[in-house]
Amino acid sequence: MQKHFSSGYGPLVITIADGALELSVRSSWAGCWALPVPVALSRLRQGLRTDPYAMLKLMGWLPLLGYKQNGGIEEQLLRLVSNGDVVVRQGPRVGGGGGGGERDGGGDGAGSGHATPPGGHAKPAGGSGKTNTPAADDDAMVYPVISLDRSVAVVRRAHTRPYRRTVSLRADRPFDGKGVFTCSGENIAWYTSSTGDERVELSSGSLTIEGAVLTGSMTIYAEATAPSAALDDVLLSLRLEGGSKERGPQDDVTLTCVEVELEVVPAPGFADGGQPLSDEEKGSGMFLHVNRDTPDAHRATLTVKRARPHAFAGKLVLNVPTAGLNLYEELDDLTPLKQSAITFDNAALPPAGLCFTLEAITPGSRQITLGIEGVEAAADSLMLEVVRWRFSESPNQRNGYDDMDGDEGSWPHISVASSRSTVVQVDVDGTLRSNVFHVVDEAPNVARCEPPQVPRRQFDLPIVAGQYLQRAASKIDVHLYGPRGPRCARLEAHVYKTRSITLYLVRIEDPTSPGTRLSRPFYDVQDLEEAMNKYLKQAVVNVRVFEHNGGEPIPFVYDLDKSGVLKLLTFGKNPVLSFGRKDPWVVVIVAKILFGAPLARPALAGSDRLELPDASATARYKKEIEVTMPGDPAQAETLAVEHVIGATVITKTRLKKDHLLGSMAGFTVRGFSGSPLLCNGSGLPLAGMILAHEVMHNLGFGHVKPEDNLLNAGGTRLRYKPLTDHRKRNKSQWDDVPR
Amino acid sequence: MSKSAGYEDLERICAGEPAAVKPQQLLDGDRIDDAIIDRIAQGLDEGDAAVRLRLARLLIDLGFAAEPLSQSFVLVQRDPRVIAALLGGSLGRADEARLLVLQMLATTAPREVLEPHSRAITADLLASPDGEALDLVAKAKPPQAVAVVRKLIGNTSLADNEQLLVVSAALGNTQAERLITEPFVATSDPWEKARLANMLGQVGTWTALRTLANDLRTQLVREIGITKQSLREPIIGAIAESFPTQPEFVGGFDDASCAAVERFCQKHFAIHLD
Repeated sequence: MQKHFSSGYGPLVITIADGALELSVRSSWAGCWALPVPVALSRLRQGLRTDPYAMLKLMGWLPLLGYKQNGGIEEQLLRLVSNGDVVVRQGPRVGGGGGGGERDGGGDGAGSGHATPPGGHAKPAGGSGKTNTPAADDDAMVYPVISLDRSVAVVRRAHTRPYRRTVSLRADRPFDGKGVFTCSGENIAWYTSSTGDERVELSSGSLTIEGAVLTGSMTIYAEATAPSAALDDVLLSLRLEGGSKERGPQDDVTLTCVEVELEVVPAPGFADGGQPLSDEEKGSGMFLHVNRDTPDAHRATLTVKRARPHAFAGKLVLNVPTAGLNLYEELDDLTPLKQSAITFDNAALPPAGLCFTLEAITPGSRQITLGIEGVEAAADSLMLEVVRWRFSESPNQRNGYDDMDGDEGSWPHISVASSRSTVVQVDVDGTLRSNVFHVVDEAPNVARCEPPQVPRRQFDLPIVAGQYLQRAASKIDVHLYGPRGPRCARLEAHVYKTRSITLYLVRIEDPTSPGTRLSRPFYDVQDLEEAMNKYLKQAVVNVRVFEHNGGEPIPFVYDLDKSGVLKLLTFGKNPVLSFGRKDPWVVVIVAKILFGAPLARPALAGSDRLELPDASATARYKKEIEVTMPGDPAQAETLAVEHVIGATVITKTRLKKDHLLGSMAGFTVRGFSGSPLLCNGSGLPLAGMILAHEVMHNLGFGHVKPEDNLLNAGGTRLRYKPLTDHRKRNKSQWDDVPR
Repeated sequence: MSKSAGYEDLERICAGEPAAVKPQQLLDGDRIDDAIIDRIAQGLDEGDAAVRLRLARLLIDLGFAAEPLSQSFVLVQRDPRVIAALLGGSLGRADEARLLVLQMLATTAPREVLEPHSRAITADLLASPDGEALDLVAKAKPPQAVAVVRKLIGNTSLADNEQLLVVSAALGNTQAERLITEPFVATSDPWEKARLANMLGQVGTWTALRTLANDLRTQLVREIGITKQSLREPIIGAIAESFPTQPEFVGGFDDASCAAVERFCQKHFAIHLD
């Protein structure tokens, strides 16, 4: 008769046999509680209040079954029975039910090896979980009864608190003599309670108990302090002495103390080699860094050691929460094990144990346990603190930051001006203890950081550059545990001298061409300066902007064909404008700039091709091409480019007008690098970005493909990550900044 | 543009209030009134960092606007009163106004107008030995700074430290000078040559400038964005840093201007260009 519950502790069985009422968890987890039928029934009737042991057991189980403890025990038990959750039956004892039946050292055998009482007292069929059970009519004889909830005691480690074994000592009927309890092993500590610290001191391995105490039953608790040398090598006995009644023989049970060990070696990377953690360290928490967002492999090694005594034939269960953790069989495995609980036959484990590697995916606190199936879930355990240190771009940073797109094997980079400082944002996930992370500057004289004294979830970490130095990639490492612990993050700092550039804005209008009038006569140079520096700070360039003539346009004749456009030839020297020097840089603002080349042949209406002088003139026609005839604005037309073959541009639509020799084919540009820098006046809302782009050209930076890049139209980033530039070089833009 | 409105705006700037003033509103013809300079100097002395930055910028703008060469798009800061007010109101303060003044004077002030302020410039370097201070020292070349720079160099290898190398060469260290001139002569990489030309321009010694002048007819060309530039331009620009008001360096890079620069350099540096 069994009833199963998903209590996490296995099925609950209540059996009323002809000898006793038994309550147990699991059929094989025998002898948890045994009472003679009359007593059991009486106590059920009296609400079980007089038997604290039974009450405790029931109180412990009822919540597992979903019942609260604040009701009366009897009421709750009866409710269980009436609900059909628990079946109470009186009848013949189920063979093996309620008894361990496993005397081979299995992990869940109950107290075992009872002596057979004289007089044909009924003995439990299962052979264990039961004790001297006197016949109801044998009033003259008193028997000692010793019962043990399980035959296996788990050795307590410094950081674990396994369940203590419950040893019940009693006489089966009123007794006025004394009882002597003996324990053969010295690897047992005795307590008055299952969890308290009050010890029961045995004198030379024995304890004398008054008969009156035994009449009511006495319970003591055993805690294993060292593993057994062999199975069942601890003998617990109770014998009766003196008294007015005839005494039965001593009652015995045996116990095996089993030590379970989970060896843990933290993530590799310790400068002096990783050592296994002590029990104290396992209990206080091992730090493990999330592995997925760092190039370094961060896997801890777990070894399930063979439990001692090695003859112990129970099953060990390694329980690793799958949420946020990956367990692998090998260090370089890429496919994690799927199950959270892995069971091993202890006897089948290799002597050195079985290794696994552990990887953390998400931050948080978790517990990993190694237990004995059916006996103890956490015979050894590891408190795991999964942490994560992330660098990211701070809104307050003063120069550049490149996250390298999180590419495997790469670390983020930061640029900083020499003698200055910048900041990088740090996000810490997981536990916030002051001793988790240690920041180490490779070369503090080049770039040092100043971490906060009090740990915080998010903060700006100042990076201070050394004076007058220009250096590449000075490393700032973050280690777990201490400066010699495994590295979990790195930031590479590049120190540059600030490049100061003065831009002098000159706005020009051609008095002979009304089309050259600037539509926006004034704009705020400080806003422009701020906008430019927002982009150029990445290259540690600082721009100061001043404007000529208070921003008033100056007359300058440049539009010779009166098209309203400043025409520039492909790879040609600016034929008209000639301003300034290297420093300050002059920026000439005009109404419109057309960049292109004269047609090599006439292109007539209906044609879809434009012939230019050479292939270099066509290379940049990607989207549109504009054809104009000097002095005849009505002749201009713009066509979409289909593709380019050598020096010929094929258009998507056919020409609508005739374009004779002297016509120019090109495209409008928003800015133009060189001396002077040119800026299209109609592009002023984006002037900061455009001019920053052109300044970078003047500093030697070529176009690159990524559209988010400042050296591509419309982008803003400057990358440390090598990019392919217009010269087909795969080069870091930061490396092109003079250090 | 109203002058009285300009004065009112200046007072508002000094008081930390939002206001914008064009330099032309404060000019008396092409001249800056002493009273304006005094008022700005007072504001620089008394204002907070934001006010000081705005006033320093305004005074620099005034200096440019009053400079006749600005009509040729050459930025020069050479009014002794402006220089004195800028340095007097900025040095020794660790703020943006100081950085602005140091940067602007290092790039636009002729050396001779900085000479009267040698001690102040050296004292500023001693107090805040940053890159901006070094740049101004390289430009002004105060003899008092030699010992300070030597102390800053300490055990540092000059070859690894471009800024100390430049300032050391600027102050007369011929060994440091050779560390720049020799690679400049040797390299045929246009970008590297332009970078070294820029350094030699900052050094500004006769030897450095003569080395630059010897390469005035370089055939090297560098691609800048979608155009090309002759290395003659950065070389001329580097030489021009030491002669900001010299007529030969005012103007563009057309053939006639370049020829004028060559003639000047041949005479000034006793060189012969093939």
